[in-house]
Amino acid sequence: MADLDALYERLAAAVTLQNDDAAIRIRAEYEPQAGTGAKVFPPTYMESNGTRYHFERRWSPEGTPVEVVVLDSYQSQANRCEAALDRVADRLGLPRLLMRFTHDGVTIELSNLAAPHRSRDAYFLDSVVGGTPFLVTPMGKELDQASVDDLTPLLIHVPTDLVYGLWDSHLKNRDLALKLARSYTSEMIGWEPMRGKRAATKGDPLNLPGEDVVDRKAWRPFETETKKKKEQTGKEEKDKLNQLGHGMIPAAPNESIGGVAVRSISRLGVLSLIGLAQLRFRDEEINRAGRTALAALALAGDRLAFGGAGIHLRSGSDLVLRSESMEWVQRGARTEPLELTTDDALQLVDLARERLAAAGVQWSPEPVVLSPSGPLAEVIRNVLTARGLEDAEA
Amino acid sequence: MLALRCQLLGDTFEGGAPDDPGAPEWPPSWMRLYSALVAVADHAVPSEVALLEKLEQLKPPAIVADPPALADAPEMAFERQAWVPTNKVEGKDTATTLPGRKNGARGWARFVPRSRDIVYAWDDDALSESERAVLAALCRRVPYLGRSTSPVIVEVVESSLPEEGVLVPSSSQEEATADPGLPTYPVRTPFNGALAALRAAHERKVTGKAGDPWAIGAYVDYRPLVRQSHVPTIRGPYRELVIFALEGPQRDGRHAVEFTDLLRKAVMANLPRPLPAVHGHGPGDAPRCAFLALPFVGHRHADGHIIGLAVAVPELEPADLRDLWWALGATAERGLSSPSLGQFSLRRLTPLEQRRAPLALQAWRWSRPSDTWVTAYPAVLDRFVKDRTEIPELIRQTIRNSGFPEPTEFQSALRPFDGTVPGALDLAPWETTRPGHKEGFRPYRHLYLRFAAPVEGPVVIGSMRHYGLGLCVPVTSPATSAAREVGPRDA
Repeated sequence: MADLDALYERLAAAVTLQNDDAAIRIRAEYEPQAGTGAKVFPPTYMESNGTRYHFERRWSPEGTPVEVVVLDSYQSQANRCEAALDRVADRLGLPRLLMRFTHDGVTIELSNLAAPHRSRDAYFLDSVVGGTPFLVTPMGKELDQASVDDLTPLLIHVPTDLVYGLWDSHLKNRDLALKLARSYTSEMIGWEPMRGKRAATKGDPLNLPGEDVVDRKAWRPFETETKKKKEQTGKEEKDKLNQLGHGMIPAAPNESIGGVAVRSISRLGVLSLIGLAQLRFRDEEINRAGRTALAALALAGDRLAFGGAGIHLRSGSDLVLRSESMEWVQRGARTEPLELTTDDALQLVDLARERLAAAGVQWSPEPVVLSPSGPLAEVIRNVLTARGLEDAEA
Repeated sequence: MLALRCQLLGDTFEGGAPDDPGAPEWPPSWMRLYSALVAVADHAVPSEVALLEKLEQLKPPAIVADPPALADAPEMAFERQAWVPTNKVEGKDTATTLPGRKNGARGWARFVPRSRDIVYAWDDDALSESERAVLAALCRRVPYLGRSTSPVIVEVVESSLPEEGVLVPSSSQEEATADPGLPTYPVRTPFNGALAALRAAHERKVTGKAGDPWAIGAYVDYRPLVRQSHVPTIRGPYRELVIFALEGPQRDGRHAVEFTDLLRKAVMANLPRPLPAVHGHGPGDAPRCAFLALPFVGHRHADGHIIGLAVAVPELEPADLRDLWWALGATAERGLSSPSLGQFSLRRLTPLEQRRAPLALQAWRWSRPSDTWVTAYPAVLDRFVKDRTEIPELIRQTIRNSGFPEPTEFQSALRPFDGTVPGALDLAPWETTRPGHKEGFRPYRHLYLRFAAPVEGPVVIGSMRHYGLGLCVPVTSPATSAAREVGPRDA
């Protein structure tokens, strides 16, 4: 059990530039669940040079450039931390925005911890609270008018956005789009990848003639045709059997998405305490308590997302943690070990929340619930019913 | 000595060059660090503003980085990719987890340096104690350099310059001899009025107008600092590299020999008298020019297509040299054409154009001293063999015959080494002989060479070196793990 008071004070000193701690660095080694050398599947991007993976090089400890593959990007790792915080938001009393939409008894919720552009995402900008456009509610105005000179509204309502960065790029008629750099970075790479091939053939136990053309309506009378299909064909819809899911669908081995076997897998995470020290709030007391609370949130996010025995990156990439170390990184190229369990990190947030409240910023544990505005709701409804956007626009 | 040290906290640096955002700015310029100091300064505090005004007046510092310049390790430059939500609610291409949302691929220039430390050093102590204290306080506040994905610690340090890995302004009066053969690199620096320019650009952005504070900076030519005690280099057989940009349809490197054969014939035709250095019929040890097709290699996106042509010129008698220059000028003026390749013009680049030209068109790319060289085109060996076991000795002999010392270490492979020089050409046997030449296909190999001391380039190896095959590129460091022999096709 860490001495949380001492840890809090050390973080508070760091984020006010009162000591030599500049960052907290986390290094971890992983291996595939099936063991070292088993295949893993990196994230895919636009195809380039015959691959959809991102290969580059790093320096080995011996000073040799060796090939690596990115297994999880900065953005993805940040998203994992946010998703982990979102799951325990109630436990942490974490303020957040929540767009809620119900259709046919199914409720969809999207919080600023999951939205791509965080609290400045178009989903929130195009939502209403109690019938009033969010942006003209008092909270909406506060968030809209926050500037780098005083980010207190974001600290009050959407604190995690200050850890992972923000770019308010979607509203017109404003002077300067608010742009905040991330203070937490983390990336996972696989060393010395051997490229594999993927041959995903779909088999048919009865080997039905997949190329035969049939009347789709006769096969699927319960399906409703989309407007576009009707316009395109003007007659009965014809499909091949394999388009209906029958028959064999052979596939040639694909090298561009064939997975990789790597020599080792590592993660390097950095929480820049100097970065948090650049955030300015209403007064010095809130500067200290606010930045420390953000550091605590960042550490909690990291521990929740990566502090377990392993991690599921994506299909085919389940990893087991082999070793992990955390360290303070100080001026003068010095480091000092840091130990912090997930429970410690959560309790550190509790402590930081209390101190922040004492400084005058009270986090509301209840999310602010928004509803999509009429046009947005209509678009979402149509997408959910798979009718396509053209129906919504008709 | 005043020095600022930036310690990268991760393995990589991310920040694009203002004139080419797709390429990383390595080393990060002094202007980039100055801009970071301006960004974290409190402009209401007179001592901080006074310091910034003083910093912009300092002469450009020496920059210590490893490797010293992007051109020294182009293979370590990448474009980091990520999917970014475009925030447009449009289209039918629905995401499974985010209804109606679309993503777009974005890329950011990234460089993987060998060392995480970058030092900016001034040889005189231009700041007072109190100014140093203000500078130290400013440095403490700088969270990152370039993008926020490159977190750093910046400190004021006492530092002396190391023996290697130092770039200095070309005008610097360091102990080094100013070798005119050394490359120069344009580096952005602050200038008299830089602070005002940054503020004005920021103001323009604040008022919703276009502003480009990231592009501000005065370019100063830097060159590597070479000390008298530097390890002596081994001179190769060539004294000069004359480079032409090739303008016309893009051609892949498989046409290399066709191009160099065409260039050689054109130069011969333009000579006022036959010159053994060009036609090659003379005593066996007479110096000969090598005609080169310069390919786009060594970058992640490299595809080996031909960017320029060059002539590597050996030591020649003044009269021969004069005739050769005349013939090269005439060839450039008339251009090249052939029924199979088409029409191409050749252009000598001005010094200014050369600074902005692709790496392949910069002489330094092919000639900088290095102890490690890797073939961009395979080297054709000097004779046929009956048995593959003869090949290692034949490779040594071929290297010696090409005018280079025997390497301390070499590896050979029929195909390019994976990942070592991206874009290196994987030629077929019939692409390794002159057009119409019917003497059969000699064995050829891609080579990875390490010499006992840095060798000055261009390094061209093998019996087809006069036609550009066996052209090597200097690489930063050993990559033995990538070097492997693959099954022979010519056995």
